[in-house]
Amino acid sequence: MVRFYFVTGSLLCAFFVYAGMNGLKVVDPFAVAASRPLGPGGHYHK
Amino acid sequence: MAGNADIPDVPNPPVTKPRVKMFACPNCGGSITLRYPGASMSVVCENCQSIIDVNDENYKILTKFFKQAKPFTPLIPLGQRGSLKGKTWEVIGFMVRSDVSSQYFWSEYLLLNPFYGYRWLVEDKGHWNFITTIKKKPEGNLRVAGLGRLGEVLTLDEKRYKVFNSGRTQVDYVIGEFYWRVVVGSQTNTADYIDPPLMLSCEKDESEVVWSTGEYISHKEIKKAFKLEKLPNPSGTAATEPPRAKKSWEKIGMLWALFLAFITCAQIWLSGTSPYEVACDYRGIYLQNGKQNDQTTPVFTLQKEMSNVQITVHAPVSNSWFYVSGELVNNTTGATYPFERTVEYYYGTDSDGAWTEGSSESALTISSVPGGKYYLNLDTESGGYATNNKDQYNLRVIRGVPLYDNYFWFALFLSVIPLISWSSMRKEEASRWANSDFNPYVSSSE
Amino acid sequence: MLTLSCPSCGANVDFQSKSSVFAVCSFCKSSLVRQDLNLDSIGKIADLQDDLTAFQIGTTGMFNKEKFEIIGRLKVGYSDGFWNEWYTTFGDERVAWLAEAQGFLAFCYPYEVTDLPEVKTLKIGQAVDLKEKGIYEIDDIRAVKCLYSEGELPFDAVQGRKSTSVDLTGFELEMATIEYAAKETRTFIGHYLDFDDFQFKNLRPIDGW
Repeated sequence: MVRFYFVTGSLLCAFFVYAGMNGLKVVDPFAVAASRPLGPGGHYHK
Repeated sequence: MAGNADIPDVPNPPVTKPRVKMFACPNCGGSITLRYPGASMSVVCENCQSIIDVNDENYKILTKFFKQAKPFTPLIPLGQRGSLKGKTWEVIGFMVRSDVSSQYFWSEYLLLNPFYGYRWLVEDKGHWNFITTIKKKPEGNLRVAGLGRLGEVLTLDEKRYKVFNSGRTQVDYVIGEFYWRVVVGSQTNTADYIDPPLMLSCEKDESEVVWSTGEYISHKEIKKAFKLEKLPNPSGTAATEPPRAKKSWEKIGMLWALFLAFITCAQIWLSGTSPYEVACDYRGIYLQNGKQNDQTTPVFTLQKEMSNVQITVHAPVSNSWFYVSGELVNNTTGATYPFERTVEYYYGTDSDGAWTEGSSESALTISSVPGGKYYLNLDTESGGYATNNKDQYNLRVIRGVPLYDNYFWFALFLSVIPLISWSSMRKEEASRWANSDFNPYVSSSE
Repeated sequence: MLTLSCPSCGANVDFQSKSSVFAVCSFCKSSLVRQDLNLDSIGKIADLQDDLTAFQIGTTGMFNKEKFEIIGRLKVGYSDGFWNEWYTTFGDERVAWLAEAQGFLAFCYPYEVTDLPEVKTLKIGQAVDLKEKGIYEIDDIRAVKCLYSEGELPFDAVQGRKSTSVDLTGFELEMATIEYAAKETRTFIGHYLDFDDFQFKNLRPIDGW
């Protein structure tokens, strides 16, 4: 179990740094996901 | 050299006589086999279960027909030889002893190697310990050591042994031969101390104090060493059973601390180096108690290839509310991020005094927004105002804010295995100490 | 090496150590007392009925990187058992004892100590001051009797000779023995050691081993 934890823990730490650097919220139940606009005539008004 | 030529200078080398001796039991006449005359002091007649003193030429009877509820059968037969710790041992005696107060009993096997002396194998619920009597004494005050007091720890050869049990031990059953005059029913004060997989024991009677060290041996090794057909499976956790879960926990605990320290430092670094750049600072007009649709901000740039975005909305509310619904749109790809925020602030007094609720500012974070050119489309609504004037709200887009949520989630994820390891260790240790009078896992008030 | 003739049977009796005053003729088992070049027979040593020991006269071993040889044996018995004391020489003036008891081995040298307490006053657990060697604690006090002797010995080891043997332990595995006999009191200081530490050669063959 020690070796398994060492591997997974290290991966988690690496992922933590990656997520932090990319602004990635790992647990995001209220995530705002990107979506495409509904079609021509979307909301853009210049 | 002096001497008559007929008489040889050197005597013939000694002929090894057959060692094993047989004689008739003085009590019942049955045949007794003595494997090590010259070393053993007493032997048990298997026929009538009398103990015979073999030091005495007349083979004095020491104990006649010692009473037995049921005979015990040794798991390793007498006379069997086995190799342990790189040496060969022969089982010459078997005894069953018990704790006087609890009547808990176990088996002991006396082993002999004529060159290396005596050893013992203690078997208890399928667990085995290899015991060696020692001359070296543990450090400390020997006048009180070995009494088995609460919290006692003895040091010997840089190992610390914690007190496990103490009590009076009685001989209940014997067969085979022994190096002292065994008496069934004789009692000694014993105390055991453990540093798994090792053990330190002390036995005291009126005339002497004997110390011995022990080491846990797996039943598989015993089975192999003595070429036994089968052995009972061990049950429960032995006092000296190798502390697998504890050793594992020690390593995992250390890794856990290292990982937490790492993400803590990483979090500090990430928070410190987050850009926190205001990409867009928009002031919009809204109508109090009204709706306003389709406001659009100018295009702004979000730096960094990938990061998060915080949208902060500030509106002057005072017992009123302001609502904005909008979308962050990528000018190049058209990808949109819809969001909405309500800003409300209420205050008043009641029987408990003054109270406030809410805030004039609200924020939300959108994670993983690629860099590039963006703008916002906004719809607003408000209510609860006393007047119907035009008012101003402020919406800021901040690029790259520190994420704190991740820290707690990752700390949690990193703690899953340590928690499992820790509870495994507790379970193993609680099981180990269950048979101890000095169980640290049980409150002393019991 | 001094070789004399047994007054009972005429066989050769060797004396490897100058301090040996007693020997047992290996042929006729007469107990012999030496006075310079004279040997007087003072009796016979009765054979042991049963004997189990790895050692014999002529066994060699190493102690402190020096080789010693067993030249004599004394088997003593007490109320609860017996043990062997093997008299050894390093080939020069030095002699030492190898004590063998229930698989425990101790190697010790004679040590001159004066002002030892009276044997009657001694108790188990008592501390005894052995001057420069330190303070030792008494483990056992036993009334012992000579059961058997072989080879050459530095005192009259006749069967039945009585003495009181006091076993002491010091730090770690240091040990000491004080023997209170009718004519003299002897002290020995040494160590407990493991069988393998000695690299024994020419051990006694044991049936089945």
